[in-house]
Formats: sequence, structure tokens, C-alpha cells
Amino acid sequence: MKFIEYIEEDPLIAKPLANVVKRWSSVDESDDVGFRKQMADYHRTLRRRFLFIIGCVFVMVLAAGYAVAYGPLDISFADTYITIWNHITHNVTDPGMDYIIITVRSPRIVAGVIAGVGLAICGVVMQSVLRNPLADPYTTGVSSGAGFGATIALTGGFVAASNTPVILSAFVFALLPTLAIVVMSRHKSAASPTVMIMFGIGLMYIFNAMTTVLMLWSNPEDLASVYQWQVGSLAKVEWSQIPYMFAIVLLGFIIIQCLSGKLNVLATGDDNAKALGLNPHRMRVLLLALTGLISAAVVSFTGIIGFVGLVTPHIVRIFIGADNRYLIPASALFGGMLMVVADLLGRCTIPDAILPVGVVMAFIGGPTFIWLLIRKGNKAW
Amino acid sequence: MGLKNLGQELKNIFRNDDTGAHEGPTEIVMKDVSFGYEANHPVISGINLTIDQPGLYCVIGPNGVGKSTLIKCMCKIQDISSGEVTINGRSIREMTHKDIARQIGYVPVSTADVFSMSVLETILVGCQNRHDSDETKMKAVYKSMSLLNITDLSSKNFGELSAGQHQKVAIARGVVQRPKVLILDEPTANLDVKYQVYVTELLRALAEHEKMIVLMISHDLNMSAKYAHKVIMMSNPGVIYKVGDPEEVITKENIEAVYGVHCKVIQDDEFGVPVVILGQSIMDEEGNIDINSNLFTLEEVKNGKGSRKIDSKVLGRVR
Repeated sequence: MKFIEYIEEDPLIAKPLANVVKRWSSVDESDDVGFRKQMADYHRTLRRRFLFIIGCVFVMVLAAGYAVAYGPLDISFADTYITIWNHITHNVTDPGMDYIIITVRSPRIVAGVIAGVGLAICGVVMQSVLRNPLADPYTTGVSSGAGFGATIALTGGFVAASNTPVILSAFVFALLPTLAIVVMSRHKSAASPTVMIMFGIGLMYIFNAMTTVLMLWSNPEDLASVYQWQVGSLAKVEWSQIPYMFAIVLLGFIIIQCLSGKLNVLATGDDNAKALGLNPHRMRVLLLALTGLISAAVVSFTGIIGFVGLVTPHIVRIFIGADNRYLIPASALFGGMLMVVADLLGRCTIPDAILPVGVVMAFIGGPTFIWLLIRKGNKAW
Repeated sequence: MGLKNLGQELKNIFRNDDTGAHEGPTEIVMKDVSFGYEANHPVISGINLTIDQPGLYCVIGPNGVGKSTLIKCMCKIQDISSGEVTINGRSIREMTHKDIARQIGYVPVSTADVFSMSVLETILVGCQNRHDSDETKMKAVYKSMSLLNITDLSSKNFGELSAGQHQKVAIARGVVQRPKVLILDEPTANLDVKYQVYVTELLRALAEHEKMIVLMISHDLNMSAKYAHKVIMMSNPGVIYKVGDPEEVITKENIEAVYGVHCKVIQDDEFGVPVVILGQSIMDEEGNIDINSNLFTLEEVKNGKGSRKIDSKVLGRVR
């Protein structure tokens, strides 16, 4: 039947439907009850998300304070905060206390927060970009690259004077897998997210094999330090290193947060992304490069800390949903919080022994994660 | 990519301008378009198609004939191998995805995302090229949801919905973009009869009221015959068999040739549209068509060979 200018005159179109279409088409601003209900629901969701974020900040600050207070020399909770406040306001009253809290104990906590934030952001972005719940700095090869870089430096005998060669070497090798993925993805056939993550896993095995070879050839002292590095620890981080870590993580976070709306588009699939006016390939490469940089910056200072990147996004998604505009900041804060808590537990659960943060993370996170998955069934993603 | 282009690349990524929108009727022209994953095996070839009038266009044809590929090539989701596609005279090779998205909305066959957001947020993603306030966007989303009768799903998680509901959400996301051209890949797949009729009717109404070009893939010959303004029939091997008014395209001869199924096409008294009554499959394993016990190839049938007589035995059975 031919084209009819006015839908009321089209015998094929029912009256109610014609009215619905006309209402949709008009720009009326009439206050609809349904619309108000939708907005109210949405605002409730937003409030819940902000509460979650504020909750994370609160727990993080509390745990950080306790972590600083905890140690061989007993310092009270209140004194800790007073000393930190005095230090910030350049009003140091007790230099001894200031030294212990600011110089000795704080770097570890601050590094923990930054590392947690950085790794969690990487996890969220990698999972959304590659549309794969298993994506994290480990499965994309970044951690293994860093591990190999650190092993070269540690077994090559560059360590005597300072820690810097290890960090530099780890950083450079951590960037290699991302670089390889970016270069490889220029081939059309290798540009799909699934191929990218499989490529990352392939690289992981290669780097791990090379690391193992180096470890087999090394002497026992080097072997011990390589092993220590591989489980990841916050103990070695110093104030002088933190600005580098902080700058890269902060810059990466800001850029990624600006792109979070587009990340939502990308996460719905390449065809959808193109249809919505986004070049999915270009976007994926940019975001992977950014996450590669962030995770390299974190891992090269702390060693391989697994789990945060993989699991934080899943846990946070259960609470606030998959919208990346909120998921990214919430995961960042949750990751920071998780790291501080895990490090604290590692220091205080077993008397006279310190468990590395990576180990604690796996111990507390693994069961929690499985419990959440079982409770939520397949709704988790 | 090269460092020289990096600045431009970054600018493109962050760019949010809204210039270059085209006023007036839209025109899509496909000139000798071919596409194939391998050079020697084209999925579609020699496609010449001009769409310059608003209306509902139905693309019909057997499985694997390149219907989805055709519409993907039209909006640069699939890059073409040869030929040219132009939108309002501009070649899509020179246009960015964003340029095209301002004119064309595309609704794929909907499946659940790996990480699903709420229905509201899923549809809100369709507003990403608009520069309205959040309130206006939310209003647009709400209106599009009411168009598909899914306002009650707004806070549900997209992943928990049924396949039919996914489909409605996908259509709502296409509609919320308010494109001049809306392209849908099997919008009525997974829908119940009520919504098959509703959605097809809705798309016709949108085309007429908004003067939009709506292009949909369909497997329902009767629905296409009833609601389409123009029907595009594709056949093996990835070519356009016929384009025209439903009465011209949806005929006994064409359906028997393209689908290899006996049928009877009668005229519906109420609306004067063709109605198809399908009969027996008459295609052998090589794709030849059996007409009165003689085998003909598709090409031969197209050139007028084979009897036009209806096989009354077959039709007796379906009636």
C-alpha cells in the first residue's frame, strides 16, 4: 500500500498506535506520571551508588589510619590522625612521632591505595573493552612482562646499589605486551577482543617460561628476591617513588573517566559502537594503551599483585551495576580500600610474621568472590 | 597510525561537535557494491540500489543470501570490497562513523551484552551523540520506552530479560537516536505475534509520520506484503532479485524462484494487499526448482521459463 502522509488516514495503522507515535514525535513537556516515577527510580539508584562510593572512602580512611597506627611501637588511633594533620599543616610538634608515621609507615599505605586504585581501574576497563569477565593485567600479559623485567634485573646483579634498575626494567617489560597487542591489532583479522585476550594469555606463557629459565639459572639469594617480588608487596615502596606512581595513575584515571560514556558504547559490541558513531578499534587501542601504562606503573613498584584487578570490578558490579561512568570511580575506591585492608590483615593476623599483600588478597578475596557469585547466580554479569 | 596523525586521532576520539547535519530528505545510493570475506567468494555482489523516498522498506530473501551484509554495508558497519555507497551524495568511505550515526540508526539482532546495564542505561547509550541536558535525554528515553510499551522494565537489568524484550529494548535504542534513516536487522525475530504486528505497524507509522526511511529485514512475507511501501527481494548468490511495490515483488513466480516453495498469492479484499499461502518445498539439493516435474535453475525462472500454472494438488493440501 502506498505512502500516506497522515498516519490517521492510513487504514493499516490503528488509532491507538497513531496516537502513540504522534505523542512520541511531539515535543510536549507535559509532566507524565510514568516519567516522574522513572526519574525517581533512577535518582534512587544514583543515591545508592554515591552511598557505596562514600562508604568505600570512609572504610579506606579508617583502615588507613589503623594501618598507620599498627606496628611495633604502639601509637593511638587519634595520635595518628593528629600527627598526619600536623604534618600537612606544617605544624610538627613531635619530630620522632612524625618520623615514624610519615617517613616509615605511611609510604606503604599510600602506595597500597594508589596500587589498589590503579589495578582496579585497569580491571574494569580491560573487562569492558575486551568484553571478557576474565580480563585483568594478568591475562593481558602485563604482570608477566613486569615479572620478567624484574627477574632480569634481579638475577643480572644490578641490584646492589638501589632498587631503581628493577623498577625500570619491570616497567619497560610491562609495557611490551600492551605494545604488542596494539601493533598486532592493526591486522584486521587480529583486532577482535577475543583474539586480543588470547594473544595476551599467549604472551603471559612466553614471559613466564623465560622467567622460569632465568630463575633456574640464578643463585639462591637472587632466587629468593625474585620470588619475593613475584608475590607482590608494599614493603619496599618509598616516598620518593610515590609521585611517579601517583601521577600516572591519576592522569590515566582522569582520561579514562572522561571516556567512560564511550566505554559504555564500546561494551555493547563493535557493530553497536559503529552504529552509535564510535570507531571501536581506535577506542579499544587507546584504552588498552592507557590501562597498560597504569598497570605497568603500579606493578613495577609493588611486584605482581593479582586478584585486585580481576575481582574488584565483579564485586562492585554486583552492587552498582555495569554503567562504567559509575563503575570506574567506585571500583577505583573499592580497590584502594581492599588493598589497604588486605595489607593490614597481612601484617596483623599472624604474630611475628608478615604475609605479602598479594597472598592475603587471594585468601580473603577468593572465597568472598565465590560466595558472591553463588549468591548472585548468573546475575553477576 | 603514525605520530603525525595522533593529534587528529585523539581529537576525533574526544570530539563532540554536532556540525554537518543534513536537512531535507535523505538519499542512500549503492553503486555496484560487492563485499566478501575472501576475494573470490563475495557474500553480496553487483548491488545497485537507490533509496531516496521515505517509507518502510522490507528486505526479504532466503538465509545466507546477504541481507544482513547488505544493510551493514549501507552504514559502514561492514567495509565494502568494491563499488560505492553514498549518503546524500557523500561517499561513506570519507565519512566517519560519527558522521553516519547522525543520519542512520542501526538496530542489530539483539543479544545480551557480557556486562549488562539497566534497560534505562542501555537505551540512554543511544543518546550519546546528542547534546541535550540529562533531563531531556531521560525524557527522550522514557518516550521511546513508551513507544515500545516497555516503561515498566526501565530499572530491570538488561541481561535478565527475555529475547523478545531484548529486541524491544534494541528497537527503543535505535528510535531514541531520532535518525533520518533507521535500519533494523530482523526486528520482529523473537517477538510474539502481537508484537510482530505492533512493531511492523509502528515502523510503518514512523516512516510516514516522521518522513523517515525505515529499512528492515524480515522473514515474514505476509507482513512485508501488508506493511512495506517497497520490498527488496534478494536471492542467491548475494544479488538483488527484484525491487518494487509489494504487489510487484511478492508474486507466486518470484517466491517459487527465490525460496523454492510452492505458493499461492491472493489479493486481500480489505486492504488490497497480496497474501501468500505457502505450499510444498520444490527445490532439489542443487537449488533447482521443480515446476510441473521439470527442473529449472533460478536464472531460467527469472527469464520467464517454467509454467505459471498452480499445482492444485499442493495447494489443496495447505488450504
